[in-house]
Amino acid sequence: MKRSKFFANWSYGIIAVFLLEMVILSSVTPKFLSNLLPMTENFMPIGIMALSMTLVIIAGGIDLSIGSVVSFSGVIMGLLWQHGMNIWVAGLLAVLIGGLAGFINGQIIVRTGIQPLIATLATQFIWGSLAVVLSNQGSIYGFPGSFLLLGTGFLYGYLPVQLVIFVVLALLFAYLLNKTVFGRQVLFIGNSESVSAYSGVNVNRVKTWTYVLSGLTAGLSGVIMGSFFASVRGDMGQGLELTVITGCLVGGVNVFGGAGTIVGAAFGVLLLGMLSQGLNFMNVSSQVQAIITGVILILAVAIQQLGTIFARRRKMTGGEGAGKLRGERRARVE
Amino acid sequence: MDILKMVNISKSFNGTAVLKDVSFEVRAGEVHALIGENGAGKSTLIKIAAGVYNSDDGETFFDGREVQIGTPADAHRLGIFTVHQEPSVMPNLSVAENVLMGFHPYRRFAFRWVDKKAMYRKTEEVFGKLGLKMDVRRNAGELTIAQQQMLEIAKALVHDVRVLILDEPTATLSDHETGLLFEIVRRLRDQGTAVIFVSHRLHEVFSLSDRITVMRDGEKVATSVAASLSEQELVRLMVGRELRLGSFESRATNREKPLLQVSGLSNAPWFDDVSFALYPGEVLAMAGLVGSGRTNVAEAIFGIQPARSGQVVVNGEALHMRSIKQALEHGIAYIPEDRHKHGVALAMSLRANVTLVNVPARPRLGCIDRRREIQISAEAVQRLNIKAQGVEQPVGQLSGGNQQKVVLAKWLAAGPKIIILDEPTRGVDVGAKGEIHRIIDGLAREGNAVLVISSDLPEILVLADRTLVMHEGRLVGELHREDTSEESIMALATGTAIRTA
Amino acid sequence: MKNEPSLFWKIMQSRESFLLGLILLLLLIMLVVSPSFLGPGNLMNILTNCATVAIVALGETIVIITKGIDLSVGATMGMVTLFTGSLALNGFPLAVVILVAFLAGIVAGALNGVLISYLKLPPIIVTLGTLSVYSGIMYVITKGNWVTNLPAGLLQLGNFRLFGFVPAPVVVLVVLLLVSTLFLQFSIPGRHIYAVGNNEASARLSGINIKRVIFSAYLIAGFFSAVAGIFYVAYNGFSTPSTGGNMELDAIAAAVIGGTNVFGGKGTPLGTLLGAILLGIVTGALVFFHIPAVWNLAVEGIVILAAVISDAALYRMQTRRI
Repeated sequence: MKRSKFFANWSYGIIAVFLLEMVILSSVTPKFLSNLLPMTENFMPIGIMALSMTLVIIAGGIDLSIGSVVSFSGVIMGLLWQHGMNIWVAGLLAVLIGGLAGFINGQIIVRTGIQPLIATLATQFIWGSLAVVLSNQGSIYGFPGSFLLLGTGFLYGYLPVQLVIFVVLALLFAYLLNKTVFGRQVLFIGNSESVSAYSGVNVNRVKTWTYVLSGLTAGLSGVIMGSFFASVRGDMGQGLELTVITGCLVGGVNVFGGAGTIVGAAFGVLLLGMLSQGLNFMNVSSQVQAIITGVILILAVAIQQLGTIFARRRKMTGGEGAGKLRGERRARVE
Repeated sequence: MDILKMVNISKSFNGTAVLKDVSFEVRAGEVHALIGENGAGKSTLIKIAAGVYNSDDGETFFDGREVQIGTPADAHRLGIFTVHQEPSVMPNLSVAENVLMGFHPYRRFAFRWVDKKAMYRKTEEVFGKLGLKMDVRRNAGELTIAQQQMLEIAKALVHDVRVLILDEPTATLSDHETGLLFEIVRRLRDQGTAVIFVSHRLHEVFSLSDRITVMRDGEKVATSVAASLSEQELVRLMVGRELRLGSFESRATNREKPLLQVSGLSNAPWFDDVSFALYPGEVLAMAGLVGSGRTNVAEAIFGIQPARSGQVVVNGEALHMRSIKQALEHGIAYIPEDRHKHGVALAMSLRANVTLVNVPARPRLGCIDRRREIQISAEAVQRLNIKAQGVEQPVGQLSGGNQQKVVLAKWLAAGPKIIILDEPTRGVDVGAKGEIHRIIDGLAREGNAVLVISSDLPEILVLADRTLVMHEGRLVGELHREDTSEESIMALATGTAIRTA
Repeated sequence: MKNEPSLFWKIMQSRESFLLGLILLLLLIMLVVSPSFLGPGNLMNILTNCATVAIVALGETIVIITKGIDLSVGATMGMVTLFTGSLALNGFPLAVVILVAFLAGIVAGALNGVLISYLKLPPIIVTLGTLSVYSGIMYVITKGNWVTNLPAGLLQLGNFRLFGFVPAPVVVLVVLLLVSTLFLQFSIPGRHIYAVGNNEASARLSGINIKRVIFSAYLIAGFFSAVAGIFYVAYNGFSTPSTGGNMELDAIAAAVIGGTNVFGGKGTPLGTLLGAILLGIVTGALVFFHIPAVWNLAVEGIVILAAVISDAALYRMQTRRI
């Protein structure tokens, strides 16, 4: 079994586990099934961010700043609206601000060569802090009713608008990753940055774009959450990045980059989200849920790791799949 | 008397037998060369001796007693040390600490405390023995590659070394440094150390070793006294048949207008004032020792490591050599030396690798044209005779020669006019080597301009219309086909020609 | 490469002296701007405030030197404060309380260590997972309540003052600084930690047991977090379920500012301490000038970026010189 196949099979496995979970949860809690679709509104922003996080991780990066970007762009939208701007225009600007935040992340990472982990940790501090400062440590609320439909409305009476947005974006990202040159380059960069560079791929530009997409979806999530809660706060996105990353990894995205699918990540988030909703139904506290999530995260990577080791044992003449450019830059000698 | 004796050693990886019943021994006070083509199993054998791998079958004796060498630490306890081809230092630690890592001298004061004074003293002694001046307090990351290699040797010498394994130690060394190393090795041998010497350079093997063991396809072919063998016999033993590289008919080169004109290209300290022209329909070889700046020149032309001054003109148009993209747009292709680092992504499919440089996309929405992709890669498989189960097979599962063909296919799919190949047949078996030579010849005959960088002198003799020779960053000579011989190239490459002239 | 680096370069290369200079400069500026900032009470306050972070950061430094990262140190520290507090409240003798607290920290570190070294899982993911597990346990222990009204025995430990004015956390910090410096610079296992971070393959060939070294680094980080937790709760007299939240970020920041290289193999306890003090002074100055505390994180983020970017730039300049 080759490595890419292992991670592709993973996404089928996740779908199976997800269906199993639905069966168990709906048999344990009778009301579960009837609330199935509305419940998704509680975690769709996480799903949306997981789509772009998948690209970031596949390209060998990570983005810890998205939680703060959610808060920041949400607060920006609220402030703009408070100062008389149309809420939809304000929302659009907020999404773009998110993209800008992502662009800054990307540029810091590709220009200075510092680790994505540290760079986005720092910007997480900065955006999060600015969000709290700008919101004056309070919340902004009173958005018009039509805007609230974005987060709480239903199409045809039963399809949550959030879910529709998520599905449309998921299809878009799946297209991006599987069918476009950009997606191909993302995969190659995750497999070997140096091979990509030597093949004329503009590595810095592609990597920056993954962070821009990450920022854009974080901005959009901020807007959607503002609509869902009918208010924005400076700490509304705090800690979301952990759930998003967990969702991606449960969905079979390889933490070391180079492999992963959108379908897998999407179902990874659905699996986690439904689990948490089910546990809510059973009155399990959110703290216990945090413990469960942590354990699931570690289990997911442990299984991934074992799978990769087995896949590699099956005849791979080369060394590590993901060559790291870093070491090579240091010793460029013949 | 035999210090180390390995009897009937077998080893396989994932069901592929790499060593079959190999017996090998080395005596006190001899240099025993171990030679063979890539994949012959010699590196597996020395890794088993050094405790890096464990054999599946067979016995190892040390001083006549049977021993288990399970880990490198076991090997060190016995006095078996290896100097690897590529130095691998700890950049942020001092030279002394690099040398003594794992064996810190200490003083006992409730606990064991590192005795830094003793550490520096001991290391200085070792370098003294080597006849080298070295600031042992300096961080190892600040050393040149050759100095780092000397550090690796010092690492073995601080111990009571009984068996010294040298795994292609001269690959990164200059002539002078190689001479120094050999002097040290001879002195050790005279003091009773057993030396196992792995090398591809046959003249080195003959000048240094007392006995030679030849390996082929995981088996020992012969062991004999060095003086009783000729170079031709050795080559025949290595490849298992008379090695005869096919030669090519002379090519009709259009010398009116160069396709590539390089003038005054400099990037200290790698190369200086390099000028040459490359014409359509010719194969130009670039020879020189490793470290003479050949790869750096190629990477400058291709825009990976821009030069500081000088000019590159393609078809009358000057490049600014700052981006690979520009080189691509001007039809330059560069097939790099290090396949795994720069050539192919091992986990990706053959199809994706072949089309990476120029992914066929439908104009709208940048959607990849999968059918066209399959078609391009299938054509490449056929044209270059790539042995694969299909275009979806991961490249990591192919043999070295076929991987190299995938790299070639990737660049040929971009339709280049100027093709630069850096060590195109390194680590490739003899069969594939001939095929790659035919492909290179074909490219030139189609009117492309081909530059081949190679350390393989027979390869240059077979392929090149003209040969440029580099020495310490400078072009020191140009040889036409009729003047080219291994001797004439080496004389220029080692700098002897200049000195005697 | 033949010419020796100038004195300026040598000083710049030593992160510790550079940071010390920067700290003195900051203090000098504060002295000019407002002399009262430099009162002994205020300086000791700043030092005490950053002592907990600094202790945790010392453990984090050791982990980062091995090329790893531990995101769970803050949660471990918080968990230990609540263990300590709850046990003390339930009338257990002080010795038992402290023993169990240490055990909690060590077990937490050992779990990380086993998963990372023996199962070879990526450190960032493992500790992200244990971060949520450990902080989840905190809430479960206390059901979300604060731990206050601690018994006198524990408080006495925290109220200890050396020479009548050096608070207990600072004393502990200094002791741990010395111990960890001795360990890293002069003990053989300490040197092995650097070896592993510098070049794992080479360290393995030198006969070093890589797994054991990495395992012990996380174990030590857990131990340091436990020490920080015990003295935090003893000194402050209370703890909340959010104690230690985000402290891993501060700890990483202190280490990185102090010159610890996230690519492994480089860093010193003294540098980390100076990094923590620098952050403490900057935060203290913000408080002093009545700038709202919500700005702290932003300033911290900027300081981290400045530190790593200057580090990367410096590195490039050095390599270019060769």
